[in-house]
Amino acid sequence: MKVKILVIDDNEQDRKIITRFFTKANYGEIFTAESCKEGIERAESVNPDLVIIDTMLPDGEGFDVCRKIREKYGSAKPKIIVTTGSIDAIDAVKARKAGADDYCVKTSDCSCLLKAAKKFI
Amino acid sequence: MVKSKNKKEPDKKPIKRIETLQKLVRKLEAALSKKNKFNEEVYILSRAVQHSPSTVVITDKNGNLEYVNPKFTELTGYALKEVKGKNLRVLKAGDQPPEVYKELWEVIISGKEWRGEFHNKMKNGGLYWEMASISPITNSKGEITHFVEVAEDITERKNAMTALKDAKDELEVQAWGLKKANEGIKLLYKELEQKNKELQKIDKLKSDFVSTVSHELRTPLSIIKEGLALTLDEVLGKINEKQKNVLSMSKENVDRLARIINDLLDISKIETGKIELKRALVDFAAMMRDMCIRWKSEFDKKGQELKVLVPDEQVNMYIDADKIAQVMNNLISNAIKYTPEKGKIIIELKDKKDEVEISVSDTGVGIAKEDLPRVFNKFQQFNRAAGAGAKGTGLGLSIVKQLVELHKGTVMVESEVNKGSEFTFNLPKMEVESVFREYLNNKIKETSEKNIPLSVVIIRIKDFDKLQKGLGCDKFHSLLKGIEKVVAGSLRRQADTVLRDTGELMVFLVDTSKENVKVVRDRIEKAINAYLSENKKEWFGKIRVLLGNATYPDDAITDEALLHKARTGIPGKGKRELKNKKSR
Repeated sequence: MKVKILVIDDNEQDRKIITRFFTKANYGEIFTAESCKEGIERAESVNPDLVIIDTMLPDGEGFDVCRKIREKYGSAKPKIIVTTGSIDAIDAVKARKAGADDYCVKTSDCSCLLKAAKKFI
Repeated sequence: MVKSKNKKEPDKKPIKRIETLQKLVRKLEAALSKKNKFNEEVYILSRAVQHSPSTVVITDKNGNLEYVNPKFTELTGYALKEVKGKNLRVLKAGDQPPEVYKELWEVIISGKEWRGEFHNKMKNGGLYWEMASISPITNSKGEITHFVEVAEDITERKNAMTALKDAKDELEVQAWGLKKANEGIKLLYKELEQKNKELQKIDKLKSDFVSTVSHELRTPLSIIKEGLALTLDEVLGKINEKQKNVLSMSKENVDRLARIINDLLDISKIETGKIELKRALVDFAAMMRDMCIRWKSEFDKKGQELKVLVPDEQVNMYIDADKIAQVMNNLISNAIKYTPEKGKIIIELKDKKDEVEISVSDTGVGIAKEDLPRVFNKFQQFNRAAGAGAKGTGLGLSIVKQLVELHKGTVMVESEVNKGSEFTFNLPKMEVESVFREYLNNKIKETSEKNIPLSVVIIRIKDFDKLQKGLGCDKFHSLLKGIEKVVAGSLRRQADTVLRDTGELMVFLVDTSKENVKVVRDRIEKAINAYLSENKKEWFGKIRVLLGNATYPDDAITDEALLHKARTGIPGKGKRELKNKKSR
């Protein structure tokens, strides 16, 4: 099934890695955004099935984007994964409360994200 | 006749009437008493409703209020007269779905009781929850005329439950967060481990490279050195002063290059774990005194004062004497180099309970505070002006640190610019057993890498303590040395090692299989037997020697288990004891 994935991350390297692995795993179309503002706009225009949000963005926290998307579209779609380079239980809780479906650490092989994505779509 | 008849038979009508009256009176009384009883019952019932701890509400068949009890007034703030005639709906909080009320109505209209929860509004706007039971009341014809609602305030219970649910949800989220963090940390750890492995591989490649290059450099260097020496010594013909000066300088630098290469080789060997300690029982104090004597001429050259503070008693330790000598040589040569003429150098050895502490302090140029943390790093030479003498390699202290750490010791430095430096290292005193184990471990590592077996034979002097007391230390040591020699003499391969302990000897037989070890053991046994019986000294007759053996990996794979196996292999009294016969 071809799905639409939106990656919101300000780090170019991370965006590339995620895009590469998800493309390789044949996940369909990948869209990217680099800030909270752009992310929310893209979510509106793209209507993605899955949104991957970095915790730290230049204009705010990923949790805020997560919360805004949830408030707008409800809890069924899109699935949201909050992702981070520095794992933290408090952040995980924040992500959950903001309506995220999963919380993943960024690794060089994207294993956590891919596993989580597989669960949802 | 009639009269007479009347006379004869008295008129019974009045009596009958009285009886009837009496009957009526009784009936009336009964009815009255029934009514009184009924009134009493009604009274009791109404009192019960009035004082009920539950709210009781009675409405007509349309749901308009006819009666509310005081508890209702207490809870809602509405008095009966305020609500009489109003519909029960006035109480609705308004946040429950209309289906609830629809279902309720359907149930009670059909004559059944409805039970459920209401979220209601009080007169003052406050909200409360109640658990209600509503039933229809019918008349004698079975028609519904009224409804009665009995309800209980469950706001507190409801709040408690909500709080509990919130707490449970919160806990679940927290647990989820922890689980996710845990998973993430595990993944990160795995990735780090992977990276670490790669780095180690690169590090090993680097060390191997350094080692190979150094080896390759050595040969041409020694040829250059040889040529320089021959020319300088004028073996090849006379040379003039100028040429001599130039060649001397070349030779000095070639020597330095050779030292750097040797140090590099040492470092790469330590870093790749190729160096293993050959610990032996050494009198550390005597060793230190000897070293100071050997260095004396160097101190004298610079007119430096040397103070040696080493105890007179023996300080016996299991150390690798060559390696510790290298450590001391590096520290002493540094001290001489960086201390001006007429300076003072103190070498001290302190015998502590579990360790020995050695310090070399000088009154030299010292090291700047900001440089201290990097003193033991490779290729670190600080801007301290070295005195006359050979230039250093920048590797000496790094080697010191690694060699001391190989001995499970620590090294540290204290220094002040222009006042002097003090280098201190301590070496833990190791138990015989751990030395045995360390040795054995190294051997196991070595042989398992090559995939060959390793056998050990343990030779134990029976009643060692008693014998030592009886014979005295010196005699006993010469006996042990004698046995060690005999054992070493009976071994065929070079790799086989003998470690002398105070009461036990261990023989390592590299590449000796489980089948072959018995042959070797018998040979050792025979050799000791011969040695003991050949010797004419009479106290040799008292000595019994016990042997045990074990093979890696057949008998055990850990050092501990292997030692245990070898020791339990030593048979009990009588069996396999080597009695020394007076004559062969």
